[in-house]
Amino acid sequence: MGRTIEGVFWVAAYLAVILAPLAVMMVSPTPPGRSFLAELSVALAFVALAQTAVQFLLIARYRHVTAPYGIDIILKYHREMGLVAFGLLLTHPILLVVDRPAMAGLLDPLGGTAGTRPGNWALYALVLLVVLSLARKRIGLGYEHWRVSHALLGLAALGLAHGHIHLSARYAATAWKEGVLIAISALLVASFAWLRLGKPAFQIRRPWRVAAVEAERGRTWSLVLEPEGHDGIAFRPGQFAWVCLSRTPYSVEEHPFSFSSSAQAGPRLEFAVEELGDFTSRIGSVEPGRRAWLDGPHGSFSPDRAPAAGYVFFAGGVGIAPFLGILRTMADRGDPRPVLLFYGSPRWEDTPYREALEELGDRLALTVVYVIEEPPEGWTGERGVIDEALLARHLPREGIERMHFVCGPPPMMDAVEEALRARGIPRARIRSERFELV
Amino acid sequence: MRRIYLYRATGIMVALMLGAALAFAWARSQDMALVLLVEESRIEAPAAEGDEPAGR
Repeated sequence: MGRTIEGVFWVAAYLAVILAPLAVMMVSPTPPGRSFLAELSVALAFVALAQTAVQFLLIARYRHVTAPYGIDIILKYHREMGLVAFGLLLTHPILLVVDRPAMAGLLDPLGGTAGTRPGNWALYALVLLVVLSLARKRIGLGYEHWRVSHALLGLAALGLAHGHIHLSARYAATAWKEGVLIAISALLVASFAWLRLGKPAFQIRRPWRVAAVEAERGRTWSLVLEPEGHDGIAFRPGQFAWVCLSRTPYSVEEHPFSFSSSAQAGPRLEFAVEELGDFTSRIGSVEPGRRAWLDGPHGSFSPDRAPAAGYVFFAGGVGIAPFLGILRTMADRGDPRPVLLFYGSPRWEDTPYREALEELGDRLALTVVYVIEEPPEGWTGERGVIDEALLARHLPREGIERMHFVCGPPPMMDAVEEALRARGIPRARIRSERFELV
Repeated sequence: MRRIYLYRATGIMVALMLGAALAFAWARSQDMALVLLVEESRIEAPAAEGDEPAGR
């Protein structure tokens, strides 16, 4: 199936699942109709219920689902649709109270009726889930703890919502209708359970070993992994894998890192890791020989999926990692196509992999434009940040025929994408990957 | 750039969901319901057994 057809198929399937509860609840026998506001409140709650269930599928990393759009976009969509579902669920009690103000008392989490209580708790679980997601960094909640709380609160909210529907015994009073609702939720939650329970069962048979952890410039490390007792994995340049360095693949401590080694070489894999968070700041102390587990490859940020006469890459900081893998692969393939790399870094002495890029320059038609924020004395290259004026100085005139790839900190990516659009580069010729989500 | 498409897709999805919810609310407030074809055929089945449809 072509990427576009696949993309359209999944959008249609998504809508079908989201609207399925409404269709089912319209089928006779139905409870007596109520006021428009009361029925709208119920309709929004059913849509939000299905949306909440689909959230589990969105984060289950199914390649068929993620490939047409890119996994970073799917994760962002998960975030946005989570907020939409939360908003719709909030309107459920609000509309009921507007319709019949006497119902306000039912919102008391300890009071209410047997039917409304689980609904209230589901709503409060979602309030907590949303607050923790939006304020994770501000309240200092670790990424792993957040992930566990996020999944548990989501599951609790979904279960309680089903309890509310069952005990309210109105629309789902017919057994087959409630069965359809439960089946939709159960299937979607099962897709997530596969990621957390099924996949690790396979990973445990394909362990990896840390072969080396090498210090690079700018608090960046090269993490080298070797397969233990298997052939390793095949990947496309620019893709990434979730790397877990815990004793078991069932651990929630795993992080996405781009392959910085060549897709043509193997089975050794290399990842560029910058000291940024709780986990990565400890990467330098990882001993060679330690067990590792991989979930991958993932991602569609690859020139193999975007053929062009030439490429323009924009890297910021450790955003150089996928480009390193892409350039190493191109060099191993003897790829003659021209590549222009803009590489933004705070300081010249802290610019990781510049020696590796110099070597690659001898094997490829590669031009590197370093853009240094605080350049050393006597620096004659570009300084500051990548903007439209800088692009005007360096972008080739046939730029429109090239494919543009952007990876780096979000402000840098925003600026580059805007500058490219301002220079008339069509959106279809700009690819980017973002992972700053919570 | 795909973010632009993402925002548009989100907007369209939300519009479709709200549209469906409004349609449901209107139909239900009028006490309308969909009758399953299975139920209809079950009701009509005995009559169809003995009688040939007109025109055959």
